[in-house]
Amino acid sequence: MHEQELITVVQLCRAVEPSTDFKERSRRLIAALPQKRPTWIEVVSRELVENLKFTFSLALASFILVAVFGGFAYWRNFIPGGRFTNESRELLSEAEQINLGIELGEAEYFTESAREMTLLLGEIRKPEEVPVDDLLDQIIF
Amino acid sequence: MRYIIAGFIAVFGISLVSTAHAQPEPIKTAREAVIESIEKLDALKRDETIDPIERMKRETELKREALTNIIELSTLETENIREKLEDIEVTLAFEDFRIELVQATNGYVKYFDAAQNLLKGTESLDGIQTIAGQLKDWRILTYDPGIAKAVDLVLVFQNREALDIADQRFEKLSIELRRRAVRIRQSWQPLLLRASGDLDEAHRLNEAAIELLNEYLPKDEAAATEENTLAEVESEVVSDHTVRKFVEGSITKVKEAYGKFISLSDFLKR
Repeated sequence: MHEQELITVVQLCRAVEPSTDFKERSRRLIAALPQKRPTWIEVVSRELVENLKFTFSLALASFILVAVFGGFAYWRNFIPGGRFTNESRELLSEAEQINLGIELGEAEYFTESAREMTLLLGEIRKPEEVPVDDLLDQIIF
Repeated sequence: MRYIIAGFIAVFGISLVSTAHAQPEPIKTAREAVIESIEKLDALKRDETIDPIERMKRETELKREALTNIIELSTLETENIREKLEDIEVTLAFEDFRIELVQATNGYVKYFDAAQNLLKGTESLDGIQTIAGQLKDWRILTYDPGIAKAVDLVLVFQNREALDIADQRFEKLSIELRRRAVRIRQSWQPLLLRASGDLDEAHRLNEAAIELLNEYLPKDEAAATEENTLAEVESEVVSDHTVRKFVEGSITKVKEAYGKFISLSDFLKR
């Protein structure tokens, strides 16, 4: 194709334009497409969800830490009916006092000590003399 | 003989650990001093190389030391039980007996003081051995039965004090349950009845112990003033520590009642 011919085709194409129908249809299609840019509600709700996720993970970690280091005693506070009442705490301490007040161990000590001192004094005292009869028996037999 | 002493030291050492931990510090220290002096005496008996004259000299020193320590320990133990006798509240029937025992313990302390002074003025081994022999006989005849009675009296009335506290607690709990948990009465009533049963049994055992203590009280004036012999004294002390067994049983029941009290207190928060 010669240069002059090419110029003529390009000049003809400049005059080409879409039909009115095509223009309308295309405009409607574009307008019907979903908007890419988020609205302010979307931004706020997304932020809120992220914050909640972070809060929950932090709470879970704290709970696990408390459960691990606080032991079973702390768990009782979460279990309905597991918490010590003032009454039961008072009862435990009263039972403990009663137990300490009765000195059965001390009574045992006095019995043991009496037995031991008798034995020790027996060791310190003058050895019992051998009866004459026993000595005579040894000489005779 | 040496094996007997060695065995004795081993047993004595073990019992020191098992029973003396509940004792006040001065008694613990005095017991340790007794053990130490007995160990030294045992070492001397084992030493076959020592000169006979030197042996007698050392034996005199060590027996004096051991006897001094035994008297010191006995004095501290007596003062300890006297304090308990002075503190305990007994029923009217036993009040004279309690006072009598306090006076007896005062007499025991005086006896130990006299024995200690006598020992200080005694030089010979023979004299020290004689004091030890007299002390041993006196302990068997007078001191040990007296202390055993004192310990029994203290235990029985400590048990009674514990029962009073438990009874008060039972009353308080019963009132609270009726006031605050009347709607669920059927849930707690059987347990409350069982706790009441425990306390009844604890009372019964304590009364049985008191019944035995009655045997310690003088029967009449003539019997009270009569000179005691060894056989009579031994028969007077309740054998096999039955009083203590009753007290122990009673306390076990009180503890069981408290276990139920704690379960019962759960009904108050529902």
